[in-house]
Amino acid sequence: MSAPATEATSFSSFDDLNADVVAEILFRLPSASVLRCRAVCRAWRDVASGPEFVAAYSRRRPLELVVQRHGDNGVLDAIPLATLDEASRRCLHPGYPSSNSNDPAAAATGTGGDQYSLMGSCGDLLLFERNHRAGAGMGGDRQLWVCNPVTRQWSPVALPHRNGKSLLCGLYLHRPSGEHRLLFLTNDTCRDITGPASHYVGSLELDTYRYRYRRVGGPALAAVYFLMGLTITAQCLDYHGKLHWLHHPEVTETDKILAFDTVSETFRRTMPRPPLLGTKKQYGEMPILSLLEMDGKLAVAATPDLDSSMRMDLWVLEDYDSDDGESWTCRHRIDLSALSLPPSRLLRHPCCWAMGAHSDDDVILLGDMASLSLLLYHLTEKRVLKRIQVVASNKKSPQTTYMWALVFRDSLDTHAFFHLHTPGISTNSSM
Amino acid sequence: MASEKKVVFLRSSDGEAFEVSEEVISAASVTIKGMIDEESPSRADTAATTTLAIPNVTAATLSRVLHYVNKHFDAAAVVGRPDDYIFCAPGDEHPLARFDDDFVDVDNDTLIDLVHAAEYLHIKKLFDLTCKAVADKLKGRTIDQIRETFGIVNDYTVEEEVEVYRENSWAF
Repeated sequence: MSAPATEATSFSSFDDLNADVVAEILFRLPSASVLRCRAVCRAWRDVASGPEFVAAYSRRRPLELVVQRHGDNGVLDAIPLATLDEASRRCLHPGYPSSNSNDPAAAATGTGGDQYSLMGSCGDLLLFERNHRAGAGMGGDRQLWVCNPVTRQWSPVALPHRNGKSLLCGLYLHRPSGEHRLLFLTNDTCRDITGPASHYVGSLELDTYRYRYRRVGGPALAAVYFLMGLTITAQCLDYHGKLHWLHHPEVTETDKILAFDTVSETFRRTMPRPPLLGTKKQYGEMPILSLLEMDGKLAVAATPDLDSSMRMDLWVLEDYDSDDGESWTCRHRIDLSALSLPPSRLLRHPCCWAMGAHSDDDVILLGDMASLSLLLYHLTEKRVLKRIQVVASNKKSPQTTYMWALVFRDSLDTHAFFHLHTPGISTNSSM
Repeated sequence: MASEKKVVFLRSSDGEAFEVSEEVISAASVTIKGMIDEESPSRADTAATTTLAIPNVTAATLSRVLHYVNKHFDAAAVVGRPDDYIFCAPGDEHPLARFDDDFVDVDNDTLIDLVHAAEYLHIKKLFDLTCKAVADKLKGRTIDQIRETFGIVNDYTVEEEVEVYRENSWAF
């Protein structure tokens, strides 16, 4: 066989990589590395800065779980949700803004009297509660802030009322408009905080200082003035574009699940909870409930009884939109005692929540609040596929015994709304 | 039985020919499957084997690629569940994970050649594997280290470089 006429071409140089291949490589890097690669050469910056790349990058990155490791102002740990792969675990330094910009030391450490607690997430945005302790005022000055921890952009969330009580129930992407919207439960007038309340919708993309919140739904049954906390977004599940709550003031004392359609921005009729769970019990005997998506369906995970066998029941809502009413089926029962989880100090039995694992229909993610560990559990094979310790157990600081894990999508998106609200770095006044 | 299996020859850019099962390479490479499909009417009943020119890939790279392809796409050689292998339960070691790790444990030039070959031949699994391997080499490196490792020339002016550092300052 004779040698071909074509000249042998060699590609052994990075400079020869075309833009598509460079993009494919960068899709496989965490965001901090991509930002660094922008500085390597012009060609790489052009690839890694284009809007198409930024949008595709966010789609291609695996979903992660974010945990605020050391409480307030702590670094954020991000771990791939579907695999809990320790090798891909990384730290995010969101750059907590300081309300005292004149103090560089405070700005550098993110302290300066401000404490940021991770409260919720929506795609690439994280929601924090900022507690300003510098003033001696009652309970300090509490605000909600959103940030993209990758681009380190921050924006305060304007509350519907300057005074009064507002509870942020949901933070969601409104698909028809592409806006990030806020669903609040708050008083109808700011003058009467014990008066009637309703739900109101606002938008991060609009200048909320001038934008009026729009009322949605009828009058709320719940009184809001005694509510604790600023937000319950972490407890709501976005299932097929609808937000669902078990623990929402409107349904907490009932046997219902509240649902809100994020497209039409209307409340759906409430749904019943799985049976046998509605009975009220004394504090400490309440079943531990979490909402999750399992096998493409809305599901409730329940650790029912105090004395009973340590188990978690997984209930699935069989016909979500059925006119005849929904029916729940107990699909799986997990024997928690087989997972060798330590009992929680408060409840004397394992204290677990559950979440869809986004990898396989038969795999769910369990979070154990007592041992601060995460587990991937195979429901039909009835075995733990992977277990990782999120935070080293620290007996000296029992306040870390409650663990949030929020779903987060890595993104380089510099959302325009961050420029709308000048980060209130030098202001510490309430809105 | 074995003799009935159809084979094709792939000729590298530097003129070396490699024999590979038609079935295996068609399953692996979209590009070569396309070439074979184009050729097929003319070779319907002939016993003659086909030789396909692969002008962009050298013999050294092509032999590596075929080693990978035979390992991953030859059903007889694949251990375990060939179709199902992309989803591998976390914590389970995929039977070919070790092979893949060793396969991309090569010098940078060889790796970049493999990325190009996988892209040209349209072998998705190999492309994923090699891009991931390049990404792993970039991860955690400084900009200077990246330029040095991959022989990239810094074409920024001083002003531009200051600007790009400022824009992405949180990454450094």
